[in-house]
Amino acid sequence: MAEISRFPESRHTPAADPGRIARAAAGDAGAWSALVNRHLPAVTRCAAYMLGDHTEAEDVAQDTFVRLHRKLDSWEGGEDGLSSWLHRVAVNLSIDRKRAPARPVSLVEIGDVSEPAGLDGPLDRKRHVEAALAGLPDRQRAALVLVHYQGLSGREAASALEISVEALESLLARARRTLRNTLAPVRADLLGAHHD
Amino acid sequence: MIDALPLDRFLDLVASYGADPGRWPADLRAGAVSCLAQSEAARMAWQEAANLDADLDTLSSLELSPELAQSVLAIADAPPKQGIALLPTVLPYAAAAAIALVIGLSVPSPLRDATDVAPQVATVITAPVIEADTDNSEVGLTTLALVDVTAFADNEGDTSDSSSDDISLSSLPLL
Repeated sequence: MAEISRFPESRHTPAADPGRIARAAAGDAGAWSALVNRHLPAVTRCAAYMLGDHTEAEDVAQDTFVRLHRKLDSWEGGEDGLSSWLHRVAVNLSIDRKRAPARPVSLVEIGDVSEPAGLDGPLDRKRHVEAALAGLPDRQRAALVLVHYQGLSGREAASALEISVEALESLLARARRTLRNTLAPVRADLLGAHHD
Repeated sequence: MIDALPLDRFLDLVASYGADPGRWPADLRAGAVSCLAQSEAARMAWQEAANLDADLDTLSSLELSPELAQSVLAIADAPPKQGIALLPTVLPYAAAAAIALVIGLSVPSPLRDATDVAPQVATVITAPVIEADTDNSEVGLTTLALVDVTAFADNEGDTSDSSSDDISLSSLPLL
């Protein structure tokens, strides 16, 4: 599995602009560029956490913005709600992609199959977290990604997933309980290894 | 004085949103912090949640590729592709429909007067068109051959004159 990425916060992220979507729909390249600069990193990061694969995440991000561009003409309102809409599309495309028949995996992608399975510090911890995240049911993983990694509020994440806040909190609680049960033994092993 | 969140609600909150108060719903944050300050059970649950947060936060680094940003920016420059994208899907059906229509017109109907059968019809065949200067490897079904049978009509009743030389082929490239 490719390493999941977290993009650094851009120092040049444009602020929300009520008229930007309308200008982008009218063909204003600068407005489209500002929309992309503002939302592309978050959309790509969301897909990366959903899929655990950076290359596939970039495909999803591109598809998401193709759909946004088609929708610009009919978009109602300003940028309020755009983040939730983009996250919803990215999550759904990621889930569709994850459910699609698996493509053949080459040995190059598998890597060194002779690598020992033992725990050896932060890299193993990261791999366990990736594996645990990938093992969650789609909706639980989506809820966790939106709130923990994407920083959406409960209301925004619920809107993105088209569920109530109570349903979102239920998904989050189940996801975190599963992850805690999966990762606690790993943490204990790592601590034990450090003490040895 | 801020009322502390009830312990049960605090435990639910931390179980869902984790240990970072920044992720807690804004309207509950102050009461949750107050609960945390007052309750040992709340602090234990908070510490457990913080451990999981720390695990989740090990996933980090790498940057957005410039190629992705460029290709997404270029979406606005691309002409609409829906029509072109539909061609491979629609084309076989359109060709089949055209063939069926032409063949249907060319077959004499038993309900028509026998003298009313139009002799000037074209029969469409889907066999590959082999031209003298065409490499055999390029022969495919991407070309329709329109067979003009006007010559047959002109010589109706005199089939002895209808030779293959009278058949003119015109090709209609589809792709």
